[in-house]
Amino acid sequence: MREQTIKRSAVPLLLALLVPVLAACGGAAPAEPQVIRETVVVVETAAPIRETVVVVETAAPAPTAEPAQATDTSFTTPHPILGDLRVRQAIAYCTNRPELIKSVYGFLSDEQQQTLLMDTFLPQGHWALAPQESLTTYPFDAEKGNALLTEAGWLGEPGAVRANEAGSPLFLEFTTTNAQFRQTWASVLEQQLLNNCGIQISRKHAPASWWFGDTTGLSRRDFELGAFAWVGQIDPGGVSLYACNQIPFPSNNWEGQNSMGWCNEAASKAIIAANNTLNREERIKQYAIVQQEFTKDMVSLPLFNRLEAAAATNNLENFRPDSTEYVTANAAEWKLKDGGTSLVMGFTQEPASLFGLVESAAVTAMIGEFLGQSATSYSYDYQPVLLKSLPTIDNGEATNAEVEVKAGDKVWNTAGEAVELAPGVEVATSTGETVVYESGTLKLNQLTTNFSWIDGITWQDGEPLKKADMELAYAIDCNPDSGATSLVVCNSFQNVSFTSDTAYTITYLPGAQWPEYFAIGIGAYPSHLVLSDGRKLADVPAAEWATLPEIAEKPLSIGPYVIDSWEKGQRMVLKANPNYVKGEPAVKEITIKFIADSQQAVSQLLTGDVDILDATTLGAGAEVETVLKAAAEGKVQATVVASATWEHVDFNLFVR
Amino acid sequence: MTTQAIVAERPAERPVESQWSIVRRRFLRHRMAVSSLILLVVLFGASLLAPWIAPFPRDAIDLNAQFLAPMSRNPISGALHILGTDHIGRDLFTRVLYSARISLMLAVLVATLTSAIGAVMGLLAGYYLGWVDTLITRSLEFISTFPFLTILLILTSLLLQSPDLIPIPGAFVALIQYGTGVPGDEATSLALIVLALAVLSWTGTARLMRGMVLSVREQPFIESARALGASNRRIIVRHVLPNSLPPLIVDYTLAINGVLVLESALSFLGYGVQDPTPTWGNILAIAESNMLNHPWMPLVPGIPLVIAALAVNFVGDGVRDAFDPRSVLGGAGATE
Amino acid sequence: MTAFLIRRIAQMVIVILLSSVVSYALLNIAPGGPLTFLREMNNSGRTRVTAEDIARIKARFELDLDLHIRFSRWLIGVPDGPLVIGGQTYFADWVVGCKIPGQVRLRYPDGTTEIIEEGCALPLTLQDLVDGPPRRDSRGILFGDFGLSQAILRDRPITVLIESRLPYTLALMGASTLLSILIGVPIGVYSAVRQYSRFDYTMTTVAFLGASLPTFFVGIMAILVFAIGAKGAGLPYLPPGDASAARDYVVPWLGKITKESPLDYLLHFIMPCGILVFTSVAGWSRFVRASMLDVMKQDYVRTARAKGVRERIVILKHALRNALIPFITLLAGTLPGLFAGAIITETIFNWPGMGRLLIDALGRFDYTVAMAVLYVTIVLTMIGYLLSDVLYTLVDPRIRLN
Repeated sequence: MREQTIKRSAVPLLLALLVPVLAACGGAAPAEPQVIRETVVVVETAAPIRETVVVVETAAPAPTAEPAQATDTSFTTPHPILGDLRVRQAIAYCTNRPELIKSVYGFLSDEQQQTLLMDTFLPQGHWALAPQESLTTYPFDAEKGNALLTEAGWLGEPGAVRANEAGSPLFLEFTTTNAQFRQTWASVLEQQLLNNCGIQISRKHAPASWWFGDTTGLSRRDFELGAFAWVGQIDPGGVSLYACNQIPFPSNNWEGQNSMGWCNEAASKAIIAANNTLNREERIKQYAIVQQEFTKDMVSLPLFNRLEAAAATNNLENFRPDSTEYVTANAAEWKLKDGGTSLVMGFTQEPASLFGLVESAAVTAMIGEFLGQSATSYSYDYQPVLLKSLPTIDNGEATNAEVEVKAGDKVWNTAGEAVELAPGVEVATSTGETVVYESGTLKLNQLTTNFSWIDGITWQDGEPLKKADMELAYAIDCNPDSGATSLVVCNSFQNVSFTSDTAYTITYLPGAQWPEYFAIGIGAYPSHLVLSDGRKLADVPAAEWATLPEIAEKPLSIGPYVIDSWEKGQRMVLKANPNYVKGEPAVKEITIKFIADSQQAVSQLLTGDVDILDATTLGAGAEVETVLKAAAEGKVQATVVASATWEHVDFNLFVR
Repeated sequence: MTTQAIVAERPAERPVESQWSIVRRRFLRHRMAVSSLILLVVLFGASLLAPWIAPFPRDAIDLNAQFLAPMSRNPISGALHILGTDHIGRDLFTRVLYSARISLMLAVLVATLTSAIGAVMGLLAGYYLGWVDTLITRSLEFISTFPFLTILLILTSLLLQSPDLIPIPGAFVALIQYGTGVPGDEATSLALIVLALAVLSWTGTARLMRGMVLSVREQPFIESARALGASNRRIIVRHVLPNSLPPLIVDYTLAINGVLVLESALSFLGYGVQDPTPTWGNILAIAESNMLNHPWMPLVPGIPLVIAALAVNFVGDGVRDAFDPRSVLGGAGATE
Repeated sequence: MTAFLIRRIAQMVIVILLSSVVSYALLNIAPGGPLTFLREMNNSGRTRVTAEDIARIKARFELDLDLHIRFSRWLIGVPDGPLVIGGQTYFADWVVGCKIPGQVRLRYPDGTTEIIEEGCALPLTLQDLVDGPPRRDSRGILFGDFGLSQAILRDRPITVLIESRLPYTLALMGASTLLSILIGVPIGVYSAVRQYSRFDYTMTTVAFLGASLPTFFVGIMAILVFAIGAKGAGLPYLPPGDASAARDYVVPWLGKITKESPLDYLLHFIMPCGILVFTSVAGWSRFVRASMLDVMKQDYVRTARAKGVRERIVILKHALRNALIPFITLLAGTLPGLFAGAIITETIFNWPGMGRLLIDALGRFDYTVAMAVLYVTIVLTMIGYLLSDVLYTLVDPRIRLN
């Protein structure tokens, strides 16, 4: 997920949302699937592929093929400029990243700017970050850059654009979005490369819908240098980004996200291994290998973390912005210094639906946290809220037992699919090796997790949480008709058993090893709820759920707040829940205003019409500076957080 | 939109002084219009000289000089930034100067195309009536319902993906390139915007023109021309066109004004001319997003934009009065 | 006249139809769309979306249907299944779309391959519309069923959205148009009567200024001055945005303002309305001025003057009445704007109106909402054109209908 619009939607959702839904198999399903290798055959269940084989009579391509591109060897010809490692390294050396940071965050102190700098694909402070000395780093060094370019055959006078012997200039196209933030640092980069090293880039600022489109821009590898942001996650993931089999080609119908075309055997093996084990030590070791190769090959130049800010009235206590959790996560603890009882928040976007299964936007998740969350995800980690504990192998609530499987058993293969074990199926064994099954038995790991809710949870109407509520959640969330986008996690369940009104056990298929298994739970829906048309919620077919106002607009809460009213296009009013299991919150009424324009939002903060603006509303633009200034003058409180989102420039190693 | 007939003088009755010289004489008496015209010419002329008189290169970035206020000096080189600098330290005086040529040229080109297409269509519809009229009026109604922003988005994407797919005549791109003084690749996207705006906005002019022709064609002198056996073409060229000209010219100036304002609105919504090509509109849009921190910023491109748009309006007003045969000659642009 | 009207209305219907087709097609070929969001999910690496998932989601957004079938279902609600006449079903096998696009592997002489989507692996028949998972059917926009929103208010009726926005747009556009006319017309008349007077010059300049200012520029300046600036200086201030406040607030001199009270609504209304009036009053006053100047020099006005009719009567009775004739036709043109709202003003002032709804729908690829708004705008635009034509022919006898 690259843009701030739906940023971080899934990260804290993991266990975070109970009521509209829990993410067990929802649209915002949590853990990273180990392998995202898509087979060439699109649909196994459907008709077979028609294969048109071109008769080799003339050199001309098939009549069905696109004439111009048919004969060329798509993305196998190294890029004439970027295919050369020396040029890529030169670009890295010629880029003065501190200056790029300064161009967009000039209002920060030098030390603060320094903390945003990135050398690899993990941010500073991440548990899987490789030690700096093991990485190849590229501090700004124009001399080195120039030397590398000369060595690579790109010659030229200082100040002029370099050219090769054939006389073609060192000219590259640079594609990114048209966000002002990117225009700013990209124009600085353009000047740096030209002035420091004689590399000319032409900036192409495309609409995000084109650059990130389904069949355009990045997904079709339509770039030379391409800049965008990844949203960093608590779990580093990365298989789909850096493995050899994740390179999108016309020949695999553009599956995968390794749009650089980077195939490094060692790194590819390591990234798959890192995601096939639950052992953190092992994961750190494997990720270190990936990062070493990544920085050595310089296929993608990491630039910096973005900066986020959240601001609130000075009157508010216990305001807790965080890199990996929304500000609303601790709303139950909010207090007003003057003893007031109402707060106004500004949201940049109005939720499309409060049914978290079909809607993954940040706003839905943020409102979901008011309505009850089983866990929070502060500081790159998880904390239980309405659960007794998170079931980990360490605390004994989860087990990862070795089981023997034979042909015909259902297992989870390395492609991330539930399949019957048969010759040719690729699985990861309990020792972490990837093997292709031939015959006999294999030893695989089987995960089991035991979840327990804390006692005394009731719905806002006083009805206690019960087994039927969780069963309903499992039935709906794993039903394709309900509108869930991805059912991958659901498919990896072997069995879910509900042992009491507060406890349940998930047993996974042998071979399914989600790194964040302790955060994948089942939510609850109010099975007792009677709809306005007289039907019971539990009797409504899954396909209709998204259309129900009782689900999409006014879901029942088990959290600190309940939804009181929602005036479309304007605001939503939440009231404190007297039946909340951890006690009624101090702030009795929270109004959420929908303010699309961030200037307008900041204006309202400054005039006191709004009390809280979070990072998703303030964005990465000039508004951050405005609130920091206001905070310095004592008008509001503002907190700066290094965002999990990071900017980088990808090099396309091949030409079409 | 003056759809009311402005009845022209009969050419035959004025043997002494040609119509054009009367118009010129009258226009010159309209003081606001004349000074506005001079102002526009000076503005455009200065921007033609921008490469020589601008103190900095157009796109020169200076990170030590972000958001400098007007009349402040560069902290490193000590150079004076007359109108301050923008978010990446580019000199605003320089950019506003360059953009005068681009913005004005853009507006003039769009307005010219709009008026030309609109006038021809309106003329045909209003003169021939019948099925020609039906076809033209219905198609202009049809075009006026197009979702403008969606079309701009589609065109921009096409331009990114496969620029060759969009048939922009090379001569037109060259015209834009010479007219605005921007490099070739920037000229292509400018050309696209100009064409899109022109194709989508000629409908108003066409309706106006049609209304004019409808009024004029009922005048007695057309009847007599027809009675004398004049051909359709002759009637159009000799009689209908000259009589429809005054409101058309006013409409033309209004169109220039409209494009200037529209271009800035499009930039605000993110569909306008893209940075680094400077236009008053996109400098204003950038200034707008930094305005809570630097309230002076929008004034820098805003004032020339508003003044130019105003001046265009006054020129149009002057033209209108100059063409109006019944305006009190002594009063036209007199004192006050 | 009747024949003219019938012919004209028939043409209008054709144009509306064509316009809807074109708008629908344009939205559908624009980059982006509901599947972009899927790609983003896929790219996040957290969820893998399989081909079956994509097929299912395509079905949810009707993207598995051919464009013309989708359009027809949107417009008139058919086909919604095979034709059933007397218990007998017809056309059940008629292919209306494609569940899973076909793929063709192209093998080239040099050994490389490419897979392209071509044809259809699993076609969708009319019977599938009934058999498959339930579809979000609408009876067709022509019959007043706008259908369900795809993104902005997912799976909830579009009427809910329009009902929540329309009153605000009607209020803002109605009041500002009315005010512009009420201010613009007298100014125009007076400017014409006192042509080249100091008043005329001042008003001309002010009017031109209004027309020359970009709305977003004035809008934000106004927020800076009248909201943030005034509040900071302890002066009475105007709320920077929204249609009403979320809680009670205190304004110097005015005291405590109760939320959602008439005064609260009024304070929120002043800035957006004022800016719309300021930028549009020029059009009206210049139009009336020009029209008046024309009429005042007509023979019948001169005659009236010559007959010794008092100047006041001449202006109001003879001149103004005739000058306003073309003006009436202009009024019809404001019709679509009353519904569609003002995109930029609504955005700047966070006004919960139709303009923002449309921009939002386009930005979030909510085709059904965008098409609903565009469709109504198209219809109103056409009605506006028809009205102005009819009025024009009625008031100006010189125009021949044929």
